[in-house]
Parts: sequence; C-alpha cells; structure tokens
Amino acid sequence: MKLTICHLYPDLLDLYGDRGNIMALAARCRWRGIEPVIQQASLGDDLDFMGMDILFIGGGSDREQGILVQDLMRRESDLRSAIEQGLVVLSICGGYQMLGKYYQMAGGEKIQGLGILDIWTIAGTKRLIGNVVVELDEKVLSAAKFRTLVGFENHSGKTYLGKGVMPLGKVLFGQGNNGDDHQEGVRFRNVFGTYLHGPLLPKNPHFADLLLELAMKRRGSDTCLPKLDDHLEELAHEAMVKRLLKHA
Amino acid sequence: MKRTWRFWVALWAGKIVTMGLLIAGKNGTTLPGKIANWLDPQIMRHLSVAYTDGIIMVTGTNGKTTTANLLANILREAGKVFAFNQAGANLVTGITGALIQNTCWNGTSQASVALLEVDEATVPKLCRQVSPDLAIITNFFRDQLDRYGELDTTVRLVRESLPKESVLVLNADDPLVAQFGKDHAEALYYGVERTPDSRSESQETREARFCPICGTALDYTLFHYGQLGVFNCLGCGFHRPKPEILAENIRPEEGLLLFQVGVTPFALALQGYYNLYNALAALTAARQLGLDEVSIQKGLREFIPQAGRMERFYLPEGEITLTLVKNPTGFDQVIQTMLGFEKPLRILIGINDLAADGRDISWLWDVNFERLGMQEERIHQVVCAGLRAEDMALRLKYAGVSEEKIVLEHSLTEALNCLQANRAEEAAVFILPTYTLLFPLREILERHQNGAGLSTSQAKDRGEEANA
Repeated sequence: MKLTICHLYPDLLDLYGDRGNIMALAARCRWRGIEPVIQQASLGDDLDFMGMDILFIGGGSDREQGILVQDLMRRESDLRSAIEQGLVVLSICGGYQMLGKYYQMAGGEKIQGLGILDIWTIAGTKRLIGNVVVELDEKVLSAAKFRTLVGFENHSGKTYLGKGVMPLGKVLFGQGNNGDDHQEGVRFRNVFGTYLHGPLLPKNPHFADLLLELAMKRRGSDTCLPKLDDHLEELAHEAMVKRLLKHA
Repeated sequence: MKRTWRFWVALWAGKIVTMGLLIAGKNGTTLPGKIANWLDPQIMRHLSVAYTDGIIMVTGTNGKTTTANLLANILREAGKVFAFNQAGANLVTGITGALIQNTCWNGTSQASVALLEVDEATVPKLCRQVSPDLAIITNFFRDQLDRYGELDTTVRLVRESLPKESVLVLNADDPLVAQFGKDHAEALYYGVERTPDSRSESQETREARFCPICGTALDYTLFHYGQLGVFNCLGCGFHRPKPEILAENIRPEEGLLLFQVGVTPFALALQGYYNLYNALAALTAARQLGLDEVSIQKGLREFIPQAGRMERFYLPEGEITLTLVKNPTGFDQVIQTMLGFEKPLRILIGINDLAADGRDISWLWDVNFERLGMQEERIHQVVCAGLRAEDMALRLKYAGVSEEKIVLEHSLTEALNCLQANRAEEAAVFILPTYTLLFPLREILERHQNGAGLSTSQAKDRGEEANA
C-alpha cells in the first residue's frame, strides 16, 4: 500500500518547521508498513490532485503568497474537484488563508483567494502570537486519546468562518482564528485549515492519524490503522496541555 | 556638532549610574545607557566624536560576538586601547552605556578606537548618529522567529542605513551579505576556498537560495553551509565576488582550526567552520586597520572563547564542551562539529522557551538532526532537559535516534549526572542549551570543575582561561 503526500511549494512556503508535518505523516505511514511517496511541487510544476492522497500547504510571508495565489488559481478547478471527491488537505497559516475567499488588507484592498473554503481574512492590527490549546469538536474527531490540539500561532490576519464550514474546535488557550469568537481552524469535507503553524502533527498524533485514515478511506480501504507506540508524542502533548491550562 | 548642556547632563548621569552599579557589584551598561539616551537622544553622536582613529562596527545574524571578541583580542595583542561593548549589549542602550564607561567626565575618551557589536535591527538607529569607519557584516540567516519577509526587511534596512563612506568588510560567500558591495565604493571581501565539508550538492533545502538582486534561483558550484558557497546568478550575473582574504588549506587539528591566507599560516582556537568565517572577518578588518601580522596570528591562536561558545570545562569524569544553540543554522553547524570529532557522543540538549530563548520552538524541526540519526551507532546517549525536553526528545525520535538512548530529565543537576555517569573514556561530551539554560548550566559546570581542583593547571595547558 502506498500513500502519496504532496508538499506544495516547500521552497517558498516553509516557515517554522513546516516540514515536521510531512515527516510525521511519512513516519506514521512507514511505521505501519505503508509506503509514503513524498512529492515536492513548486511554481509551475504539473500537479495531479486526483492522484495524490494528502496535500500539504504551509505558511509563507506575504510577498511569496501573492505569487502562489496566482499559480494556484490556474489549477483552481482541478483542486476543487479533487476536494469534492475527498482529497485530504492540510493547510496552515498562509496556506489556510489562500483557500478562503479573500484577504482584506489594512487599507481595505482585497486580495482574492481561491474561494474553495467559505472563510475570509481581515488584516488585524496586532499579531496573535503564542502557544495554543484547542478542544477539538466532536464532529471533527471523537474517538481519540486526546480531545485537544496543541501548537503555536503567529499571525496578524483574522479569519472568520462562513456557514458552509465548521471550526476544528474551541480555543482553550491562545487566540485562534481571530481572537474574537474562540474558534480555531476549519474543516470542510477533508480539508483542514489551521493557524497552528510548523510542526503540528508530530505532537498531535491523533490528528495526524485522522488525516491518514481519511486518505485511506478515499482510496477505498476501511481497515483501521494499527496502533503505534506514541509514548513520546503523548508526553510532549500532555506537557503543553498541563502547562498552559494551569494558567488559563 | 557642538555638544549641548543636555549632553553633559546625560553623560554625567550615565557615569554616576555606572559608578553606582559598580559599587553595587554590577557591571551593567544597559541602565546607564537607557538613562543617558532619555536625557539626550543624540548622545551617541556626541560620544562618537571622541574616537579619532575610527569606529568599527560588527553586525550580522550569527557570529557578531565571536567576531568582535576575536578582533578585540587582536587589538589587545597589538597594544591598542579601545572602547568595546563587550558584554554583548548590542542594542542602543548597551552601546551608549559602553561608550559612556569609556568617556571621561570631561568628555574625552581614553581610547581612540571604538569596537561596537551591533544588533542588525539596531544598525539603522546607530547609523543615524554614528558613522562607522569600518563595518563588518558576518552573515544573514533566518533567526528563530524570522520570516523571510522580516529577514528581507532587516537586510534592506541595514543596507540603506550604512553610510556611503564606511569601508565594508563583507562575507563573499553569503549572497545576502556580498550584495552590499554592489553600491558601495569601498568593500573588502573574505571567503573560504573550500572546507573539508564543502559539497557540490546541498543537503539543506530550507534556506531560500535566490538572487538577492533579481530573484532568480542561484547556481552554486560549491556549498559550504546554509546559503554560503560559490554562487552565480544566471539572471543578472551577480556572483560571488573574488575575496581579498581567502582561506585555503583548511583542516581541524587538536581543537584548533588550521588555515592559510596566501602564504601565512593561521591557527584558530575555535572549532566549527562558522568560526572560521568569524576569524576571517576579524582578520580582514585587522589588516585594514594596519595591525601587524604577528598580532593577528597571536590574537586568533590565543583566543579565549566567550561563555558558552564552544567553551570547555574539565571535570573529574573528563572534558565537556558547552555551546549555545539558538537557531537552525547554528545548531546544524554544532552537529557537524560534533560529528567531526569521530568519537562516541554523549549529548545534553536543553531547550527552554522563555522570551530570551524565543517562545516558539518550531525551529527545532528545521535543524538537521537526521545527521545524528544517520550516525546513530556513534551516539551513546542524548539527555533532553529544559521546559521543552519532551519536544526535543520527540524531535530526536523522528530523526532516527532510538528511544533507549534518549533520556528525559528536567533537573539540570540530574541531567548532568546522567550525562557523566557511565561515560566512556574516549567519548566526546557536549552540552547544548538555549539562552536561559546557558548560565545555570555554566554555573554547575564551573562548580564541578573548581571543586575538582582541575581548573588552573589543565585549563592553562590548553590555552584556555582558568575559571578562577
């Protein structure tokens, strides 16, 4: 069994240890005897969204994002139909914002996004930065050891969700999507967006496995993923939950 | 420019506070600098005129402190008296404080030269008041919390603020630094021919290797580390300038780095090729200042490392090297240096996430720990300590270090005991902390070293400072 994981624009969108997510997905496949095939795709490369199992889009600086939106816009309909058919996508920070309708700059000017997700982002005046703990919504993930996601956010854009999508969960510590409504991230079909940047998946193995399971299901396999020894993953996760929620 | 009454009030207030701190047993420059700047926002300008033989500035992402200290050591060997913000106080307040310390009550200076280590973001503020005669730029890397955008901004601000009449001392191998020479009348370049670890293919993919001038992907014939190497832009023709000071025949030997510039051999009392660049920057500046070759050679060979920069301790169980880690490029270099020892390794990594360390530890996933994983058999033990010990342990698991070799220990004393227990005679032992763990660890190590009575004789044998 093979799973194809595509890291989009790793040369341009690679901030804060984004590659940790690819490493986590690949390792968790390998440890279960599934062969991970990692693709790296950059500007102008051919992309076969239907053929891939998991698409990862990381965060970048504003300068790079402008170029990337244009490049992605050319592939918008392909990406949209792959998503309709269950493609698993994890998009973080800048990647998350790009999938939405628009990004409104401080001066009011709007940069168009791909419009795949019913979300929009408005430039904020202060940076939302720091550790985050999110309580996952039951509809996103219920039967897992952890009910939480832990990570670090650093963004000034404030993202709001429309009716067509649901948040990943409720912020227990930190700011989340916009610092106003205590929501963090988004889920729409098998597309997940979040502001928890960088190495999100290593410390949230239950979330990593959710992505893998959904990808397997899309390929028609309904076997459960074998359990792994997540001793260190769990320690790293619990240490942050304990430390942060003590002060909440 | 005429000195105003504000200047005198600020200078004297600064000197009184400095004295007060000295009486209290402290040697701070930040508080006096803060007060003096508040009283006279132009004080740096007025203080700087006292340095008739010039002002030397050192800036860049990594290696500022080491480069400035190497140059200071050479200046000392050459018998020069100079002002220096030695404590690493490299923001406006610290620089002002150091200059005040060096200025007499009547406004004259004991020294004719000032050597200033300046934080990259402080360069624009400094250059509004002070015009450096010599500006040394080490390198530009993404630091812990940097985004590319922020690094671009820093580089641009430094570039725009440097006065046209400053002579630049530039790293030829770093395209981000070398570009500074393009619009500057006088620039001197230093670089390396090749290190034993230089490669024609790069294994690190994360640094943006795009031409800083036109944005085209750069073509490299040789990579030294990070984006440093022999580059050429196929888009606009920008290429690695020919270095005036070129290090050749580079080889590590018994804790030293040996190299040659022209026909002159040099030995540097530091390890790691990043330190070679620091030495070359200091050497280039020293030659430009007209210092004699013997002082330069001696200054590099007999250099005493700063606290926590490849600093060695001699304990009853054997030697330990302590070195600060704070960003991916620096950490990658430390890993390369450790592997270069060709000995079994015992390592303590301490990761904190307090403000001075950087709150975000995501950068650990950008460090190439896989190189440790690939030489797993040489790793005897890695002890993970600090507030983020668990994150560090997890990172090592993904890098391929087997879990039996990873120890989690939050207490520093226990972590150190663990590292020293069962150590094999021939093992190389390293302690790698982030900033807020450096000084507590250093204290423990000094106590053990002094308690064992090994400090003076053994340390002196190696040309190290006895921690008396």
